[in-house]
Amino acid sequence: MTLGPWRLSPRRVGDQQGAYTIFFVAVLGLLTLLAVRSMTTSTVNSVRLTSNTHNATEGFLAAEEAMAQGMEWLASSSNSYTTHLWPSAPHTVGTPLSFPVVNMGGQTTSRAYTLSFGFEAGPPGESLLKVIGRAASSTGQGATVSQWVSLNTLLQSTALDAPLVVAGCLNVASGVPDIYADLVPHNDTLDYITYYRGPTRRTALNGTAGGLCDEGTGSQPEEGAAEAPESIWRLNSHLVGTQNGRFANSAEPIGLSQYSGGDLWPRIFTESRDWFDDLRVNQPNALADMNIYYWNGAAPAPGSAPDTGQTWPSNIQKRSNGSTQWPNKTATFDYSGAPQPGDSFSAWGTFANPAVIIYRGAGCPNLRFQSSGSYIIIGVLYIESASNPENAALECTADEWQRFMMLGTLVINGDLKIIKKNPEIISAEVGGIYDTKLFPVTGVYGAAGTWKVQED
Amino acid sequence: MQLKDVRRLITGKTVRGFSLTELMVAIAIGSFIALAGTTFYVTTVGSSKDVFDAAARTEQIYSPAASLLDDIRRAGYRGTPAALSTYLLTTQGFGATKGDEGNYPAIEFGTSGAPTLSGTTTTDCVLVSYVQQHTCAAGDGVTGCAGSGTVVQVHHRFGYRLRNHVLEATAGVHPGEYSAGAPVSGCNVPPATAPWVPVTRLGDVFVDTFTVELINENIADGDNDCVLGVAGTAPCDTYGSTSLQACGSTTLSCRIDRLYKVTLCAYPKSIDNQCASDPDDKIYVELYAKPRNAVLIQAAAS
Repeated sequence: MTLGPWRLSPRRVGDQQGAYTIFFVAVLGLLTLLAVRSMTTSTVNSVRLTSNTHNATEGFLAAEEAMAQGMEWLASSSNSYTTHLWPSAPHTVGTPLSFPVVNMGGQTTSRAYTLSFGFEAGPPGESLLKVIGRAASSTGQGATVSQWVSLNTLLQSTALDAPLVVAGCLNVASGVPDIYADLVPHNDTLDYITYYRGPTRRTALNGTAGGLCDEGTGSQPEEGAAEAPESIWRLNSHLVGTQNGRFANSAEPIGLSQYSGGDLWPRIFTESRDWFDDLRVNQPNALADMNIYYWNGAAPAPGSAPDTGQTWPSNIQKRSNGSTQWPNKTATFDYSGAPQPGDSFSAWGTFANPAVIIYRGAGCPNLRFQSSGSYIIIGVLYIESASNPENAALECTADEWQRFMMLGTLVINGDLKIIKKNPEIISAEVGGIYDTKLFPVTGVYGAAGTWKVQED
Repeated sequence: MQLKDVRRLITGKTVRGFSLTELMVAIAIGSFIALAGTTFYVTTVGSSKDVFDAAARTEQIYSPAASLLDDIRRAGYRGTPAALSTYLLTTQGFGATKGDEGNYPAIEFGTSGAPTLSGTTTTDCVLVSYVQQHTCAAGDGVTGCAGSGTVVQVHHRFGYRLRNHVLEATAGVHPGEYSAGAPVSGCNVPPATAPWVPVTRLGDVFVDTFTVELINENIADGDNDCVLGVAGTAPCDTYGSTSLQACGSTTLSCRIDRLYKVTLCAYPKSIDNQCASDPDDKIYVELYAKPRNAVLIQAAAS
């Protein structure tokens, strides 16, 4: 075949000179492939490491969100940590948390994490809890973080230690309060204190304002005492006698603990008066949700107790009249109309959700329970003067407290004079509400130095 | 007789050779293909190596940065609340000196101690302390291990510093918690007690800048979270002129929340101070981290 000056003719392959070029290029290509593959693998690994780091951070942030939701859940006064103990009964958040993910094709998708949280109880008697938050994606990525938190309960940790707290002096003229308190210390280290007050009179109700409280401890009022202030003697002599060194009437022996005196508010509450006032004006429903009552000027008449249909438990025990054994009787208040185990009754507050009642007025309220006997306060009743309460200058004359029954702590931010009537108080410990976590939680605060990533 | 005639006599076949033109064209085409192949090889391998080197450099910078970020987040973990009290009692973080955060603060800037906005705010050597769970192994020498498999809380100190444009790290264990006799750790301690090891290679990456900066702190009353130095409303209206230095008095416990910024700048060239001029292949990392554990300075006993 002839094509112009070119002459083409069939040749054997072995004669082709271009074969060397093809071979050379093939070898180069192979080397290129090997080199590129090696480097690509390294690069992909590097990218994968970076991606893993990113995913770990993402999972960790999701776990933090789970823990934050746990704290928020805990801060609600209607929730209890006991319903979601970790790891047996964690709470799963309804809406998963999604992060946007841009894939290799440039499309934006999302990666969702299922969030859950739970709680671990802290040491007994302390308001500490461990909150655990966990996030897990469908591909198995996830993280778990935890932190100890302190529950800022509305009540100070010692608010329920004594069933009766008086800022000034207690004058038991007649009609002795019946106080049922536990002789067995709740922490096995201290005798249980049943009565707690300041050392001096806040007002002239029981003598000269500023004078020392006259606490007799003998069997008779102190000689020469113009008033009858020997409240310890009165309280402890409200008996028909002692047997084997034990007091044997309805009331238990009373111990006294004095503090430096002054305003009782910060000793009972963790929040300020302003905090309560602000809620009362701006969020009245919030107070109701927390079972907090502001009684201003006039206490509600019997019959308006909101927590109806409660059943008196069988495990509240006190010493029976005249008995040498304690506790050996399942009982309740001594009034004839008081509920017995199994009886239905109405109250302010419940055993699971005790009430906080704050009464501000001039003097003590007429609780007007004397004719009924079926209405009870479960929780804390705090009484103080409407004006200048910081001075604890309340003159509380309790002459209308017959058949006044409360289970918890009665606080008088001033002097208290009891005349002829017998209010009855069952201590928070005997009544089974000795746990400030039962009262409203107003905040959850992380304990410093306790946040960690769980090693799991 | 021509050569082809000789071949024809020997082989008995007609031999047809290349003309000069054919040869030149073949060589030209072959050379073009070979040159293209070589160029392809060099370019591909070169760019792959660039990508590989860039990835390696990035990894060398990002890995310690991510690790430091994690450590800052965890800084100050002391275990249970009771363990925190132990730390405060044993390390002077209990009001022995006002503002003192203890001998092993959660985050320490070099030899300057804990950073404050009124003191040292920037460092190129940071030490981070926190407790980690340790599963004992035979012969690991960790105090408190009662046998293999026992789990104990071990107090660690991690460090990151820049030396001669190489990022270095250290991990120290304080088995005796904070008591005397614990191994020394710090930015300038001899390598035998707390060896610093390089985490970047100078041949790969020249670390021009490494700084950890305290950019914000919030100091509050440890009991009620009232912010110090801010004139608030009741009951926080008494803290307007109170400063960090008051923390640890007989009446004031404080919680301190801090925010840090970590900055890293590196590039392949071994010339100092080039980050501002934006050199080729510059890696610039700016990360923010907030320790999840607030610092606590407890009021001294009255």
